[in-house]
Amino acid sequence: MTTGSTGRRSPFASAAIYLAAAAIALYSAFPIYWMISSSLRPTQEMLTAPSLVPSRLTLQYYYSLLAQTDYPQQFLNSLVVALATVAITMVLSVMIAYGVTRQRIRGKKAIVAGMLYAYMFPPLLLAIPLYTMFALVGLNDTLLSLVISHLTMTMPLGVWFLWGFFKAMPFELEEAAMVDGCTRLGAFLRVVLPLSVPGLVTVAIFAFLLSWTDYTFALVMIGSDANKTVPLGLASMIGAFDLRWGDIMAGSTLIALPLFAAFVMLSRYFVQGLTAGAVKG
Amino acid sequence: MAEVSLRTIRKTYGSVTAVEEVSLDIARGELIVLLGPSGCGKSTTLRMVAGLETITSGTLLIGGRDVTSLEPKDRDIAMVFQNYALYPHKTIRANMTFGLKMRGVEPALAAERVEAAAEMLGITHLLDRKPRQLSGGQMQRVALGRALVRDPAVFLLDEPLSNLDAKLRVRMREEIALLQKRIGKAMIYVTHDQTEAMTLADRIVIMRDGRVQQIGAPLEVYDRPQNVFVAGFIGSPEMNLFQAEIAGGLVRLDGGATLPAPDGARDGRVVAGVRPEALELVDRGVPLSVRAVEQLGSQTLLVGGVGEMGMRVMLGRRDDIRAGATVHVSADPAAIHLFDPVTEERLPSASDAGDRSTRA
Ligand SMILES: Nc1ncnc2c1ncn2[C@@H]1O[C@H](COP(=O)(O)OP(=O)(O)O)[C@@H](O)[C@H]1O
Ligand SMILES: [Mg+2]
Repeated sequence: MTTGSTGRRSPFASAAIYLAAAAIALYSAFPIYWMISSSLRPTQEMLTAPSLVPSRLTLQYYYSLLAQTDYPQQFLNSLVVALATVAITMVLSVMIAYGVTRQRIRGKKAIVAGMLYAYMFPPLLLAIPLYTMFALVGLNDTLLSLVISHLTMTMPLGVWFLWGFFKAMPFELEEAAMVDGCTRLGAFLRVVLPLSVPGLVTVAIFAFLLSWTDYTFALVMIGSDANKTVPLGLASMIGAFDLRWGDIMAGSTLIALPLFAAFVMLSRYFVQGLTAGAVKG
Repeated sequence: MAEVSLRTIRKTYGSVTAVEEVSLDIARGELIVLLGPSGCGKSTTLRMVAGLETITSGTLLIGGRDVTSLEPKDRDIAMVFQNYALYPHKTIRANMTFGLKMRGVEPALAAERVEAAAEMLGITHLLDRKPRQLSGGQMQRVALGRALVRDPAVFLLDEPLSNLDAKLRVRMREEIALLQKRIGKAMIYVTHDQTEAMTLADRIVIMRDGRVQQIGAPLEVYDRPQNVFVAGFIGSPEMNLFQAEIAGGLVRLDGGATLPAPDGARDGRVVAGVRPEALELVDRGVPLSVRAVEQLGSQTLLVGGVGEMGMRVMLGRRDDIRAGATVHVSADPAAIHLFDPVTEERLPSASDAGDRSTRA
């Protein structure tokens, strides 16, 4: 959380650092710029001679995407799955992480380590056995099956991250709250949770990201068009006969929108959360 | 009637006994200090009174009410933690108001009480800051203030000064003593620092390995330590303790030297104790070869030996004694403490008549 600079630097060194930062920013931002500009560029221009700045802007891809494809339905599916994943991840990982830090549980280290171990499996390795299980209980090809699959990625991350967060919080704070008149739950809600906001926000953003951008699980779990999520939908646009770049770029831009929004609104907490373990408080 | 009563309170963690049958009655306005080395069960005892640890067996009464199994919030207590435990996300004002708000005190009245307490502690100018903007001493005051506004039946303080530097510690110690007298409530204060205990306490409870060793006023435990442990723990520099034998009205130290025995001492093996400040220079007494001289300003401490045994002597200021010298020391027989060498318990002597300190 500190922003202090590390002493005096020569003008040359500062210039070099700025230059490097600019290069990195350009390197990461250019594809995003290209995606957005391509989604607004007329077809001929894109195929023949794409200039850095489009000469003419058009919303035609957005119209066709929203009006003539399943994109709106897919967008809604993605949103439902991602929000459900975030909600369940938050509730469960807060409860598990808090329980593991505050109760005397045998083998609590093993629980957390086990969850992280599960996280290390590539999604595809989990997806296939999961699919078989869902098929057995009749959950295959449902959004719920996708939510459950995404939890296998988000829960370990959430528990592990919040575990570190709660562990760093002195227990005396809750005890002080209990002496001050709170119940145990009250102390948690009034003292621990408000202090954990940066961690909670970070976990929520990561969970949303993982679910929102997942392709592998969706590919395995979802068969019907009605239940496809956006990444699946976009992939199926790259058909055998035509490559509708404009539509794909417009679809990609729309996918990125909620992420931008979340980042802009929550970046303050997000950065705090990531550095929380770094500074002794 | 006692404001707080601990009746045979025990705490065990599995097979480990942390606190062994503590019984104690605390009057209104009394300041009790729990004193003992680290790990002796002071904090556990305090936390059982607070309700932060369950009581394995025994009964706890606060204000005449059996609170043994009540939640902390229902016990009418306030606590000050060693690390202050201020809520980092709240302002100082909100920190101090929180307990009142939780108890449904009217906001206007709560604000008034917070202002009054802040005034008393000299922290009015800090009320709108956040805890991280405060120094250690200021946080200490806020933690006291947060307890103070609650106006509980008993204040519980767990090593509240141990995170402060030495100078501030002395000042806060004095302030706490004044504050406690002014508000006239019962207080239990935990420390491992015997100076804090001696200066603050109405009565000291000395603990070791979960057991109460002695309960008494500071000068009672100083004058009549119940056993060898208390004798060594209370007083600075430490009491000189020697293996010795009583014979013919003399205490014969195992090194060969002799001190006069107190009246009524029976012949036999003993542990003899004499405080450094009770020893004085004499013409003919125990020969002490001085190994080091520590000048403390108004006093001079001689660190030396009698044969194999170490001995310390505290004198009024002396500029003329050098290391390497040999001096003769002795003590008033009434100032010599005798203990059973096996049980380490105090052996009764004539000067103990009218002993009011209790042995738990
Ligand atoms: N949660 C616990 N589990 C097991 N033993 C404990 C626990 N808490 C304290 N103890 C033991 O109880 C004893 C007393 O501890 P404590 O009251 O904290 O000592 P003090 O405050 O006097 O330093 C210690 O020996 C400690 O190891
Ligand atoms: Mg302690």
